Amino acid sequence: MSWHKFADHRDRIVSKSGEWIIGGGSTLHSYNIQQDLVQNASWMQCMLLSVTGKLYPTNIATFVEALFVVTGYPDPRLWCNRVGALAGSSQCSAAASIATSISSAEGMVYGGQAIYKSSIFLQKAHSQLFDNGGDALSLFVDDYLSQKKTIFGFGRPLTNTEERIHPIIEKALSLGLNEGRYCLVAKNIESYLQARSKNIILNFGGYIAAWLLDLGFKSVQIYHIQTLLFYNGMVPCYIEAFENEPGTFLPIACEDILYEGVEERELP
Amino acid sequence: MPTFFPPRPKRESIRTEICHEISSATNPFVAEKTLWHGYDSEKLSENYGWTEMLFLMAQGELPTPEQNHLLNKLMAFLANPGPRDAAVRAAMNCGVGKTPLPTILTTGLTVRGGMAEGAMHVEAAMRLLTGQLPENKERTNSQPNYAVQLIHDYREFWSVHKDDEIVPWPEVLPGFGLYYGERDERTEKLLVIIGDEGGEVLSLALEIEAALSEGESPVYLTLPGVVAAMLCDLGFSPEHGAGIYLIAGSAGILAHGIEQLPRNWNEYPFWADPSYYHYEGSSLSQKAHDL
Repeated sequence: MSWHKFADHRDRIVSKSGEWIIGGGSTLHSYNIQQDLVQNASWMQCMLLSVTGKLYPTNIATFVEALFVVTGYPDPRLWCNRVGALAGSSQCSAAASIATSISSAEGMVYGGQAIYKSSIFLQKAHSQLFDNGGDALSLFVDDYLSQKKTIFGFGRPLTNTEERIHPIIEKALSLGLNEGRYCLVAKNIESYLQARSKNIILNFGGYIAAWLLDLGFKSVQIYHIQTLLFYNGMVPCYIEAFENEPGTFLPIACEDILYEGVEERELP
Repeated sequence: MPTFFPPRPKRESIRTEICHEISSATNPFVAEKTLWHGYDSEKLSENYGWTEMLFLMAQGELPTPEQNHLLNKLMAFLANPGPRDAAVRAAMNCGVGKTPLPTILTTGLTVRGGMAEGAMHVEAAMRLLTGQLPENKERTNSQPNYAVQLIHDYREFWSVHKDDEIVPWPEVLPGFGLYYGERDERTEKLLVIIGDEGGEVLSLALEIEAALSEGESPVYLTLPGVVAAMLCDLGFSPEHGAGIYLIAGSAGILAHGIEQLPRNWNEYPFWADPSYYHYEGSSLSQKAHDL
């Protein structure tokens, strides 16, 4: 390796995704954007195309869209939405605020990292179930839980119910789609955990991961697809806080903070 | 402290060991006095500088003059990543595009956060050097071949866990590698400036470098690697270290971004000539309505 490798890339952009002919049209993964996609594809189809390089049929795009719709809660108590509301209440610009909301939703407790890690876990669990059988899956889950204490895609803060799964099942059926083997694995694990009195449910992140794996997406593609998952909830939280008087979104009094540090001391 | 409201449940309260604000007698939202780790914030500002506050916030104690001197030297060395750096270029792109001002800096900082040469890399290197990447309770830094053991353990960890994170761990040990294809000369310059002020972790980093440089594809300590080692020796955690690396470069990111603000879009490269752009995707012209 030497600097010549970098010299080869100097003033040279290489793209496999598409291009804009300056003064002409543009393509996205070999589809003409102006003459074709704008007429014949939805935004969600184009988003999936931009992530995967493949144009998916409308029923799959509509299904993925439903995943976004069902979890777009405009409640500023939710962590990522609250970031948008705080930015709004601080009178930040819209894109900066929503970008920070989206970035914050890459959390490991929920959101991006959890969904990605859940998809990795489900692939390993899938191999156990279909290569080695149900007992092997149970052992795998037990080992995982004893080592990591939690399983990405299972368990939910605040509640042990998951209101988003049933509407998605209905939506899938209406689109002619059925749960596949990854959803089966996820539900088997949930049943196993419930039977073990763990009271840990399959959460929506785990369910999304299972569905998208069933639809043939790779883990890294699932991670990229889900970036805007909570977008619909973030925007109103930002707008409302922006329109209210600055600083009135959940103001905190001095006495509301529980100080747990050292007592007052003199400078050395 | 005067109280104005009934007590709230502990689980619905923010807890902190860093800052204690004592409200005024008449307004619960206005702090009359503020303590940072127990010290009066006004007295701190009168008597200490910014890097001392950085150290205090992260570690809970003020640095010794020697620690503060070293931290200042380190941050001064990192003050401007330069106009070729990805983070600075991101900020300059914002500047020339007339992005709202705060976004110029935050965009640059976001790009400085990456795993390649960025804050994530510094964090990973600090974890490696402090024995957290991977964790191995049986390994101790008193053993004679500790550096070699760390190299072995990281490589084994990487082969098993490389896909576990949304941004993958680097294949080469974090903190080590090549810079534009060769040994990172910035490392040597910083080491000269540090002189004999480095500590045990820097010594460990140099031991690892010695081992890695003897391999078939030799790699060496990089600038983020030295920074990581120094921050460990200064007592910072990997989480704080990543942030300090971000902050240290903010001076240059901000200045270069703002410098581009008054310029026209055509006074900054676009690479508009078609000779710069090479489309190497499918030549097949596909039709969406054929789906």
